[in-house]
Order: sequence, then C-alpha cells, then structure tokens
Amino acid sequence: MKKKLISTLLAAAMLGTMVAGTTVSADEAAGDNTYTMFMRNTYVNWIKELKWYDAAEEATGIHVEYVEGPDEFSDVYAEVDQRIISGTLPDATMTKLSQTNVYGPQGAFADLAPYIEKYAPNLQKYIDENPDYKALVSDENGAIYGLVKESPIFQDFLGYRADHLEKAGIDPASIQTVEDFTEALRTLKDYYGKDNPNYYPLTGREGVFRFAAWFQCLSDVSAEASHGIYMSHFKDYSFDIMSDNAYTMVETMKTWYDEGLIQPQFAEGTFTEGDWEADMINGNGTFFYDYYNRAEWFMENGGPEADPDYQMAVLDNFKDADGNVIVGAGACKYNEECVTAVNANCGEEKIKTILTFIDYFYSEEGIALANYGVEGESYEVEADGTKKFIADYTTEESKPEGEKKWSFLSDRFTVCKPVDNTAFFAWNAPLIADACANYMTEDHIRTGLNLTYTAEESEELANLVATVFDAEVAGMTSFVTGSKELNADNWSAFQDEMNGMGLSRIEELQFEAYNNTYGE
Amino acid sequence: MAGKRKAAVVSAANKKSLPQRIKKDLKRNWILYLLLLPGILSLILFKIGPVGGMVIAFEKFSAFQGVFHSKWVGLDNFARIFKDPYIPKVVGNTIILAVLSIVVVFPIPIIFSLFLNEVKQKWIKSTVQSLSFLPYFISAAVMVSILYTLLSPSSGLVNNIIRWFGGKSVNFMAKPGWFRPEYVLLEVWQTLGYSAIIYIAAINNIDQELYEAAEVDGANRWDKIFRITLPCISTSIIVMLIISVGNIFTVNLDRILLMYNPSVYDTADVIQTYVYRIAFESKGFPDYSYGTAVNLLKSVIAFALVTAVNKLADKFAETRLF
Repeated sequence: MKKKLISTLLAAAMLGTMVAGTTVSADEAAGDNTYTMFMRNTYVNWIKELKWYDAAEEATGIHVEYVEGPDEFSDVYAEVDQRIISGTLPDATMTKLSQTNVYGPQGAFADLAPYIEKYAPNLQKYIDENPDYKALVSDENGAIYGLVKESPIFQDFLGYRADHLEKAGIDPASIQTVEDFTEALRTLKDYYGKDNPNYYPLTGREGVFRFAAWFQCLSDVSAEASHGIYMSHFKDYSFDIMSDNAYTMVETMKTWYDEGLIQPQFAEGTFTEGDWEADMINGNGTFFYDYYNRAEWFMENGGPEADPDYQMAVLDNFKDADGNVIVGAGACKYNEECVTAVNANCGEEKIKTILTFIDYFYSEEGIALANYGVEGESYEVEADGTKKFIADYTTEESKPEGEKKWSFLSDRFTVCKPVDNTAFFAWNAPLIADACANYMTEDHIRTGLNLTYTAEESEELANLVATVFDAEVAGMTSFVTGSKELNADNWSAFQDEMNGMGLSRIEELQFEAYNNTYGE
Repeated sequence: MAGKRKAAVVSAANKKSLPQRIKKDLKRNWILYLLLLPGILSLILFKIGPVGGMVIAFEKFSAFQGVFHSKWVGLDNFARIFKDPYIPKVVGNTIILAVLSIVVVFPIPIIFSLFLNEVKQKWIKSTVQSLSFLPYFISAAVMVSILYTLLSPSSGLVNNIIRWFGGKSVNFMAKPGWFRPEYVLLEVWQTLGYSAIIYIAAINNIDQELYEAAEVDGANRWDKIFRITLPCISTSIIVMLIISVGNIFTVNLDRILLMYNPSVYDTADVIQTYVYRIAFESKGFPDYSYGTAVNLLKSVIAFALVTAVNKLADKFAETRLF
C-alpha cells in the first residue's frame, strides 16, 4: 500500500513538473487608463529612468505596463512571432515594419487608421503633413497596422586623440582628404609606433567596412538606379562594390593594413568593442570612425585617468578633389525596426487609450516635453524663443543606473514620436554638441531613404541580403588582409561572383521599391 | 486426438480478446503505466509532436496563421534550395567539417580509452578519466573565450611562444585555413572524455581470462590491444560510428557563431548558420519555411546515410543498430 502511494505521488509529481512549464498565466485585466506593451528590455530599463516619460504619463493619466523582451533585436522580433503563435501578445508590441506588413493584413494587428482619425488628432495631423510617413505606414487600402518611430538624422564621426596629433606635430586642419589622412596615419605610426608595437593609428570595432563614404562608394538608390545593398545598410556598412571607388577603398585599406596603420584585428573583423575601447584608452590608437558621441564617451570613461593629456576631438568630413565636402551616410528619418503595433484583440476602448497616449507626443506640449523636458527644470526659453537646456548633460547622464534623470537621447525607442534634431544634438557634452552644430548639417549628411517593399519583395530581399552581405564583407576582407591578391581580374571575378549570388537582383528589388515609394 | 481437440477448444474459449487483455494488463500494472505516462507525454509533446511542425517546410508559414492555416506551397521551398547559388558552398563547408569530425574526432576517444586501459595504477586512471570528462560541462562560450585568449595575437600564449622563437604574431582566429582545425580541436577537447566512457565501459566488460591466456601465449601489449581489446569493443565502436554518421550534418552552432568573423566566412559558413540568418536573424520577414526545408532535407540525407552505414556494418561486421 505504501509503495503504491509513493508511486502514485511520484508519477503525479513528474506529470506536474512536466506540464508546469507549459502553462501560461492569463494576462491581468487592465483598466482603461493602462495598457501593456512588449518591448526590448534595454529600452524598458531606459524608460524607467526618464523624468520626461513620467511627466507624460502624469499629463495623460495613462500608465503603460511594459513586458520586457530580450536584449538582442533579432530575439525581440522572434519573441513577437512566438507571442503571436502562443496568443500571448500584450495590448501593444514593439515590432518591425516587415512584421506588421505581413501580420497586420492577416489579422494579428489592429488597423489603426480609423481610430487615429477618431481619437488621435495630433497624430492624424502629423500623418497628413508627412506624406512620406503616410506612404510608409499605410498599405494599399489605407490601413495602418504599425506606427513607426521617428529617428534623429545623424552620421558617424571621425574621432581622434587631439593630444596625439599635437605631439606628433600634425595640424588637424591639414587633414582635408583621404590622402592627407593616410599621411597623418603614417606620421603617427612613425612617432608612436617606434616605442609601442601594439600602436595602430586607426582602430575600431567589429565591422571594418565603414569608410565607404570617404571614398564616395556608398550603396544608394534613386530614380535612376540602385547600387549595392541599401536595405538595412543605408548607413552602417553601406558600400557598393560595383563602384570603381570601392576598388580604391579596398586598395587604400590594404595599404593601411600592410603598413600597420590600421589595427589588424579590426581589419580582420575580430576586434570587439571592448578591445577597441581598451586600445583607445591605453593609447594604442588615435583615430576611429564610429557613433557620433563616442569621442565624448572616451573622455568620460577612463581616457583622462589613463593619460592626463588625454583629449578627444572630432574631425570635419573629408573633402573631394574639388574641395567639396564628402557627405557621410545618415540615418533614415523613420526607424522601421522600432514600430508600435496594437493587438487585434484589443477593444476600441483599449485602442483609444493606446492612441491617446501616443497622440500626446505629437501635440505641441508632448513634443516639447519629450525633446526638452519641463520648462524651468530641464530647459528655459531664450529671448528669441529658442529653447536651451539648463539641465547639465554630464551630470544627468552620469547618474547611477536606475536613478531618475533628464535624458533626451531620441535615437532610442521610448514611444513613437517626432524628433527635434536640434534638441537631440544639443543634448550632448560641449565637445559633441559643437561638432554636431558644425557637421550634422544637410551638406554633411546624406539622409537615408525609407523604401516601401511588398511582403514578397521584403522576403526575397531579406534572404538575398542574408547571403550576399556576408559574402561581400568576407571577399573584401580577404583582399585587405592579402588572403586573396588584389588585382583587376580578381576584383572583377569577385564582383561577378556577388552578382551571381544575387547582388544584381537585390539592386533590382531596391530600385523597384524606390519607384513604388517615390515614383510618379 | 479427441482430447487434444477438447484442449484446443477450451484454450480458444479461455483466450480473451485484445481489448480485454489490454484492460487486464492495465488493471494489473496500472502503477507502472502511471509512472510511464509522464515520459510518454513528454515524448509526444516535445519529440514526436514537433516533428509534425516540419510541415511548414511545405507552406508559406505565418506565425499568425499557424501550421494549419498557412498557405500550402508544396515543394516550392525545396525547389528553391536547388536553385540557391549559396547552398553548394554551405553544404560543402558542412560536409568538410563533418568528415573532419568523423575522421579526427571519432578515433581519438577510442585511442584514449585503449591507452588509459593500459595504465595499471587505478588512481591515475580514474583521475585522468575525470579530468578528461570535465570540459564536457564547459559552455561553448567559455570554450571559445579560452581559445581566443590562448590565440590572441597580442597577448596569447601561442603567439608569445611564436614571438619567443623569433616568429611573427598570427591572428589564428582570422585565418580561414585555421578555422577547421580550431573547431575540431575544441570538439576533441570537449567530447573526448564523454565519448571515452562508452569505450572504457566496453573494455571493462572484456573477460580478463582472454588477456591471461594471451600472456601465456607470449602476446605483448600491442598484440593484446589489437587482437583482444579492439575486436571485443568493435560492437560499441560501430554503434558509435553509426550515431556519428547520423549527426554528420549537425555541427555545434553555438561554437561556430562564437568563432564566426568576416575573415573566416569562407570556411565557417555552414548550413546551420545560413538557416539561422534566414530564419532568426532576418533583416526582413523571417523565412521559417525555407529554413525548415533546408533542415528537413539535411535530416533526410542524414537518415539515408545512417541506414547505409547500418547496412554496411551488418554486412561487414555483423553488427547493426536497428
């Protein structure tokens, strides 16, 4: 009897343990002034620290309960799929446009168009005033399944150790072209490399093919043609291997590699962010071309502690042979990877709540709050009507994790809202704010274009890009590092191989999408 | 005769129908069946059930429409595989890695077990066996980090030795030619002790009288290894070989992703990394169906190989797995 009892309990326990993992707790019922939203965990943590966000919830009387997702973007979107499969999608979700374009018409996400008209007058006004936005978020029937986040338009900056250049006798103003730059690298290598075998004047992290703008061989798309991979690479790792200038770029990078002017592991693609940061702080590097505010980051994160003379600066864009400024690759106005979609199971009241909250950020009051904060606390209005931050950037951004602060780094996702570029650039330490004022201008940046793809085009393009992009990078890396001899024949064979793998088809699809988006 | 017929009639009358016998058996052994239930459910839910999900290889799968309502496209995804110009490259890389794994990784635990068996001191034997088993529990991330540290061009032990001898640092992790040896090295390091357990267990089951008789006949250590130990564990070796062939297309994805960089794409891009990029790292809408089709085809080929090796083993070594 005892044995039977023990066996029964054991079996029940095993069964219970097994099914425990498969049970899903029901979502808590939420009142009309709250809604749940699935979002990348980094952004949720970020939102929790923002003073202006709390002020927005207070102003609208609406509270958003965030459901934290993973950290990696691709994992976030994979979890959206899993939540759709398991029926555990919260009221709203962070997703990407390619997902809303497919799942929206199938019925997973609510068509927001009629509700925006009814409950979100400011957002409706924004849509009407921005036909490019309307074209991007609406399908052929005028349905809107996702709201896209606006993004600041910025390019990468060429940051450098000003103290290094000074000691090596280089005048930064003399570096006007890529040729000048290469000469400066040589001078620095001679000066610092003789005592330090680990010194390489140009360093960086992860992908090395970030210099295409300097050689005027960025991937692009226009009414005439499409060149290179533009989808997802209009800014980062944008290049067109079919351009003659791309050959020059690889040739120049090979020179840097052969002469020890570029950190070899960076050129080979094995230098991590940590390696790069350590190199820059320890004096093993002088130049880098990276995210616009990284020069300030080094000033705040150990540079001056490692060397009292440590001083970062930012160089202007290079000029071409005719003395014209070479434009850098800029972000798109709309970030298609940060989209808010609403669960189709939401009732009208819930959709109204969600849209009311988002709509606030399209009102004058909401725009001012999200970009500048509260008057008298984080900003003041000048005599000419312009807003000026009074909250100190360094003090606020260096507050410990989890502490409430003023912060206006609008490149991150909080809610879908318009971005004031002036405020975004002004909210930086003087080093970067000054550089932004001078170099984040229209004549310095090529703004990325948002293209509208059909679901079929998007699928085909994504699959081709998954293959061709890595193959292009691998091929160019082998030329730079000398694994493959760089000559006209090998380069031409490489181009043919990439076209055979689908590069030309990618260009065709991008060109079609351009015409569908911007054509007559 | 009449008696026999009578017994047959009585036996037929006593023999109960199948449902009745099942019912009786269930009643008698219900506790055992109850204990079996979680295992069976787990097998159905997590092993057999998901195989049904592979049907998405024949569909244009949408997570929202699900397996039952997604559009049926028949063999379109499979046709795409044969048209995909990149497939031959990743299949080639996968096969080379798999062949290296079988040719290099498979025999090493056998050799290790044979040599370990020759160690007479028990404590040394058990210590070496335990130490060889430990790396099995180290994650791929830690393994690859250790490799990166050892091979670092600026501070790694290997490059320090190269420089000490007057050589020039080599970034081994960025050399396409070094990717496969590095992968195989990690595979050996990680699985050596675990795989050896099976052979050591088989060796321990060999009748000691065979060795004693061989010694009487004047056999030396090598004779005993090649004429007694190896033939006696050949069944285990063949079973392990068949299992290894079944896993021929299964590479360690975590390890490869961690060792992946643009310099080694030429040799490191394999079927799994390609499927991962398309299905899970997609820049557009993820193509789960195509990824599943590639994996399904891979499984079918692996199954055919296992069947062929099983037949060959039966024919030449009179041993088979199924």
